Amino acid sequence: MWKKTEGDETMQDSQTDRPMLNTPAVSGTPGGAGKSATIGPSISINGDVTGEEDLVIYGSVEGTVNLKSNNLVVGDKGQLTANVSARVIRVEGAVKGELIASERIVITPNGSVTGDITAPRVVLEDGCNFKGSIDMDASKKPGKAPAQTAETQSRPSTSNGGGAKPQQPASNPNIRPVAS
Amino acid sequence: MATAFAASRPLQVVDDIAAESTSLGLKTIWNKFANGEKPRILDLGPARQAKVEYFQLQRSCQLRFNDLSEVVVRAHKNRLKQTSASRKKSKKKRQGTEFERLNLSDHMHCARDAQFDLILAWDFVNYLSRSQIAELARELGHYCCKGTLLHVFVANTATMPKKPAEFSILENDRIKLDSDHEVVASPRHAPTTIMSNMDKFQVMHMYQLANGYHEHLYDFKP
Repeated sequence: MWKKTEGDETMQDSQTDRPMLNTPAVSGTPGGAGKSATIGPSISINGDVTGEEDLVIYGSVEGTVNLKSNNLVVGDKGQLTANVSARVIRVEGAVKGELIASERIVITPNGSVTGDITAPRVVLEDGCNFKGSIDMDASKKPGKAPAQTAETQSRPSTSNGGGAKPQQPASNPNIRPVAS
Repeated sequence: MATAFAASRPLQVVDDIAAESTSLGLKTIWNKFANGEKPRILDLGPARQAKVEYFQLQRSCQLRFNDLSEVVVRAHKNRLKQTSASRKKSKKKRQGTEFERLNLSDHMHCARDAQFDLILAWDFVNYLSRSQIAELARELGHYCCKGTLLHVFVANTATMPKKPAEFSILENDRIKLDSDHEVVASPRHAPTTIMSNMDKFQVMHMYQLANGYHEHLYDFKP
């Protein structure tokens, strides 16, 4: 019988690039290494999201996402209009903004990114939609994600680009929405 | 820099475009960037993993994708329609036929002050009229500084793919073409035709590749 282990809950396997997307809606604990939090599909956040654990976004976020040395997955229905900073970023949904990763950025076949990305390793899977620049400078470390600028926001939107939505609380105490 | 012509023999026309060929232009480009800072590259084709991997292997660099292939395909389609229609008119009227402007500034998503060291235009010039090539060169000039290189493939074959080919760069500077099986007559732009419409770009190298393309490398001299 299959038994779930702590290791199974890690969001992303560095060997396969495959994320764990069947994480529960709220799984993170403060400082819990190897855990990941989820922003569900009905949640939209208008502001800054910061945290020290892995995050899966199925909902929508406008603002910035800053996970320092943790991983981010934008799920297939996830929509970000945000500048993002993380260790590994995997995009299966739509992102408009600047992405900075210290390790790797992966855009899957259904993923769409409009904006500039910076990472030492970039994977564009067949069929993905990417408009922007790739900076493969390994010396750049993700710090705080740069705030959304007027220029970023005025870039051509993706077909999934959503408008501003009412602010709702994040589903995890470690993920802190900050009013913009 | 002295202009070098790798193909000293008469230009030959081949019937089919081979799938793979070594790109002498790429070798030249990397020789130029060997000791410099990381190059800023503008790729006018679609974003593809094979290209990203190639540039990751070469060196850390800044790579921007600004895919113009849809614009080029649309312009080519309209051009074929207009050419077909103009055949029915008198020669005098035909000479006055003006092809559609590309309005490229509407399709460039780079910051207006962005500058690049290398621009990859792939085989787009084969699908453009002379005036459209001139428009492309003028528009690209906004993103160039002294010494910026422009790389293009010019079809020297009797036919060419109906749509611009998708190019992958493999190991050892080998170029692989994935193209439509449908073909159309190639315009076979003469090198002088291209050169005379390249605005501030001056030819630096021309190579005849085994796949039937000419590879042109231009240097921006404002």
